[in-house]
Amino acid sequence: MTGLDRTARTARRSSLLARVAAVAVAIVTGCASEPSEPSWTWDLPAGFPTPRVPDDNPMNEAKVELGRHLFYDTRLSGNGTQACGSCHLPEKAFTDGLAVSVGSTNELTPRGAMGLFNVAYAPTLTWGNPVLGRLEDQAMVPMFGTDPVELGLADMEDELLTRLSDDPMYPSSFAEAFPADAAPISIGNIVRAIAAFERTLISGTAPYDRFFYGGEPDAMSPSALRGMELFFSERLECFHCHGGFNFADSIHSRSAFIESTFHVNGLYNVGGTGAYPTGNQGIYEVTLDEEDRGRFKAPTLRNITRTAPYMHDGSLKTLDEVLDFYAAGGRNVTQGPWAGDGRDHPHKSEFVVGFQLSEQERADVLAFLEALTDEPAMADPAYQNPFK
Amino acid sequence: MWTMKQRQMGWIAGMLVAASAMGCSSDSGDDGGDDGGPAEQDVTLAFSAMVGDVPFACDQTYSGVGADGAGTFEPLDLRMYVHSVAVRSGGAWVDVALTPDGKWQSADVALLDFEDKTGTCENGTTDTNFTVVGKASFDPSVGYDAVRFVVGVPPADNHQDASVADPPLNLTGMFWNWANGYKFFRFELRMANGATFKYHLGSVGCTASDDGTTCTTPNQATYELDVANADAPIELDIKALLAGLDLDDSDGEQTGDCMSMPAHDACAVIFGHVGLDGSEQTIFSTGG
Repeated sequence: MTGLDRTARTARRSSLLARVAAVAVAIVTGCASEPSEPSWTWDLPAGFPTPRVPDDNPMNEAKVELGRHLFYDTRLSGNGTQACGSCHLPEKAFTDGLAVSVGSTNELTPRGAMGLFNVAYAPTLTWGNPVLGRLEDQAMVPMFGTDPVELGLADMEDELLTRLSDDPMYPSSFAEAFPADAAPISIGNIVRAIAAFERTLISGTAPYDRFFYGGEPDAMSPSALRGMELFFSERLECFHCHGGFNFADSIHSRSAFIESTFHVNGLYNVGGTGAYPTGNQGIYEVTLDEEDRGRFKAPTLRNITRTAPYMHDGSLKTLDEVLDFYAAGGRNVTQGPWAGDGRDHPHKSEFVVGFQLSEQERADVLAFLEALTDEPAMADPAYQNPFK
Repeated sequence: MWTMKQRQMGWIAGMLVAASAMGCSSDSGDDGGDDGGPAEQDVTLAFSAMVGDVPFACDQTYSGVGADGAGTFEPLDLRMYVHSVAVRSGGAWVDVALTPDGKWQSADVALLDFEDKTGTCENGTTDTNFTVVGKASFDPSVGYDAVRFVVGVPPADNHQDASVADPPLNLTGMFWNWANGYKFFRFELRMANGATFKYHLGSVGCTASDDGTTCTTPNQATYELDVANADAPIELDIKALLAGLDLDDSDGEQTGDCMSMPAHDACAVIFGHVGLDGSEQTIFSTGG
């Protein structure tokens, strides 16, 4: 499993906007006693800034390839039934198609599996957690979390390291990925490799990108172009929270500032109090600030056609329902324990004001969202499960 | 008759205590140092976990707990971190410098582990640890008559990169990554109908900035216990921890988990017992 076979990539890569490709460059340091750190070159779509990479986890090709294996390796669950990739499927833009995910011991997560494309640019991770900013840290949540149990590895670190150490390939893979490390098979390096792989999951070759940057004027239909006009209009207001190259409002790269924002979109307003369903109230769960009830991150809209169902709890099944929801300026839950009119949420985003769409306009907006679907990225061999 | 005194202190106060008067910690001599001050003494604080009058064990079923004494449970886990340990000698508090052992203790924090992965404690580790070991400078002829410690992890350590942390903060069962911290206290049980109750205590209300992570609700209580017999263990009483919780599952209803949130119904009860709401704590006592 050593060495990423870049030559096996489809011709698409060289003819289109290439996304991530690594070039290992041997560095002659003149110091034979210290292993040189392999270098890495980002090959990014036009308009994409260079992702921010932690100083203690520099990118290299072997590490990314190791991370791909670990990401899909079911030995990374306590009972050997699941891997990261069990809930993050490339063909679904690294979601799983479920409202909420099912862990290795059948416990349910409170929120749906988020897509991972372009996650390297996310200043905060998950649907709403202002203190979770590094992919290395995030990886430990499903691995070691106990409420709920996801991969179920808590207290199994020795077992996990033994499993990997006993593998015929991993010892050399870890050594290659972490050449300066005398004992490279460690929890720290496992999450570093997974994070390095995740940072390569770039989506920037959708019809939208081909139209604007790829010299393909036919890549977007007239309907999709009309939908784009609507998307970026002050009438629909979509772009305020889903803007920029990643169609998300929180981006970090090499800029000096990390901006992270969280919004109430009016999905709930339990009893008119501003509350969201218990235990699932957005960043309030972390900050305990009453003003933060219902504040969630606006996810990227790239590949949104593949990530149904929608919203943090999957409570909207289709993009049609999502458009209905925003057209209504929120949702009025009329019965059940979470009843309340989300349209009147006290902290609802000022951009969720409602709008009207004709049938044609609705079709146009949906056509635009379809134009953000990046089939080549989802099919990229470099992103697939190597154990299949 | 021993009185118990417990104060909830902010972690800042705890850290100030820990940071002070440590100048002698590197002085391993027993001669009292150059200034003729008190000699450095070995201090071992022994802990024992009880459920009322019965010792805590992973292969036991306990009854008579919770609201109205109507609950029955099997334990699943019991571990906790302590730091900022001090003893009172001759009326003055003296810091206990923890002795790093590469496993249970660093210089900053110690892990007490009462589960041994037997019985119903299917998670956890086979190893156990019931003691906190360190050194403090006081007159051995005077001894000490009180102990003080914080249940928690020093904030400077709590928000570190857990994936590369040194022992005892490298135990994944105590990781609390979603909150960018650790579980300070982990206790879990299973009721007769299979339902579980979890008490995970850690810092919440946290925000991150360039200056690090700060938490509005650090959930680190300081315990101060009078000691009559330094050889007698400090008892942690799980029955006292669970007092008032609905652990009677015969009606299909029982308490929800306490995940460190003051607003959780179970936390509202437990935080009184552990002294996190300003109440006098009831979970720790010193025998003798």
